[in-house]
Amino acid sequence: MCESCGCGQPEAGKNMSVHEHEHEHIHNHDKKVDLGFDLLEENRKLAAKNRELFRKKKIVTVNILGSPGAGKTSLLSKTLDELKDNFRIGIITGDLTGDEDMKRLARKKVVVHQIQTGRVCHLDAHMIAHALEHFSLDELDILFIENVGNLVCPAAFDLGETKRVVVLSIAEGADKPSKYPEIFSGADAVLLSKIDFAPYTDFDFSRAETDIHRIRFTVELMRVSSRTGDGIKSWCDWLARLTK
Amino acid sequence: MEEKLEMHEWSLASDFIARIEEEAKQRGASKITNIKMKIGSLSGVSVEAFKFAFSVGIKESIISEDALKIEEISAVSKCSDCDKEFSDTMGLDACPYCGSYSKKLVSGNEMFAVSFEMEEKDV
Ligand SMILES: Nc1nc2c(ncn2[C@@H]2O[C@H](COP(=O)(O)OP(=O)(O)OP(=O)(O)O)[C@@H](O)[C@H]2O)c(=O)[nH]1
Ligand SMILES: [Mg+2]
Ligand SMILES: [Zn+2]
Repeated sequence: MCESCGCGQPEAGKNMSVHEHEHEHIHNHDKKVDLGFDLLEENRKLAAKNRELFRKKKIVTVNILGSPGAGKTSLLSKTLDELKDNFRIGIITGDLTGDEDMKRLARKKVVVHQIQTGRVCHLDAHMIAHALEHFSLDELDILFIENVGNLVCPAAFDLGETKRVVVLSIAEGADKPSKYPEIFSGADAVLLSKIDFAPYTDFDFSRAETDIHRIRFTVELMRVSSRTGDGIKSWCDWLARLTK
Repeated sequence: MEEKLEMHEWSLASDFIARIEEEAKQRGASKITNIKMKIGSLSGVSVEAFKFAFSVGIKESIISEDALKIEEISAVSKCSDCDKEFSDTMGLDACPYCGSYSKKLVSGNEMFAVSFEMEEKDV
């Protein structure tokens, strides 16, 4: 039973507005029913609730998106080293199966809660509302959400996060922003990751960065390597500023 | 993407089918036809994937095979510099009036259920 979000059930609620009217013509038995709701609205409402809760509890929530293997967990692991002495940090990881990422991050001695999505390709606001039951929200400054590795689906689901961050590793190619614009169009920051690979790739930074700016003018662009630590400081400074 | 992975279009389709069926059955429907939807080009929903998921989901339902009618809506952005609106299908375009990339999405992220038609059971 779902109490935290008031939806009353495990699936999305059913409060759509419906009204009907008779068709005046053709066939007596034909009836038209107006629906008038957005299928993504239910998620947006729950996301708004989460967002309000984060605001009240003064928690900066960062939704991290990117392809499988883009370097999300490695980045988080580095970030924890940098921030965990000064901030109380929680992590939600979304994975299809397995608990690899959770174990990697739990070694850093922060509260990590894993959501196993089974065959579902994204996290949604409802899953997050329930995951929050596992945290003491009064004792958190920053909550990271590592979304399911996927450059497409998570874009459609607002979780109520304070900021949305896309991690794109330079091994994936500079054409990815223009091929997958949806995920970038909602991003507050984009991190080009694994820049230590630069000498071994033909990654065109200016093309990628220009395209990202075209999709999202106000985006914060950063270059990082979790291997060498390059750029991690500016990324963490950016995060720290959000908590002010 | 692995093939066995369930795309979000599957859960959207099965929720939607359940909602329509419930509405229709409450009204004594024997058959559902002409389901109208509008899907925006930046909704994050693939129309093809949704259609496919829908066609699988309605097997053994009272929804007729060719019921789903989707109108695809091209995204519209509004320029933050000159205030004009323009078509911005993939969210990649500059303002055609002044060249600015500073813009806000006005529409195109919707997945809107408009209406359906039903035939009533003969009484
Ligand atoms: N050279 C180099 N390798 C990296 C860097 N960041 C991550 N990797 C490697 O890339 C691989 C994938 O990294 P993860 O951090 O697991 O990526 P992820 O995005 O969390 O992957 P999923 O959770 O499976 O989607 C691992 O083998 C990492 O060691 C980096 O900055 N430089
Ligand atoms: Mg990971
Ligand atoms: Zn303009």
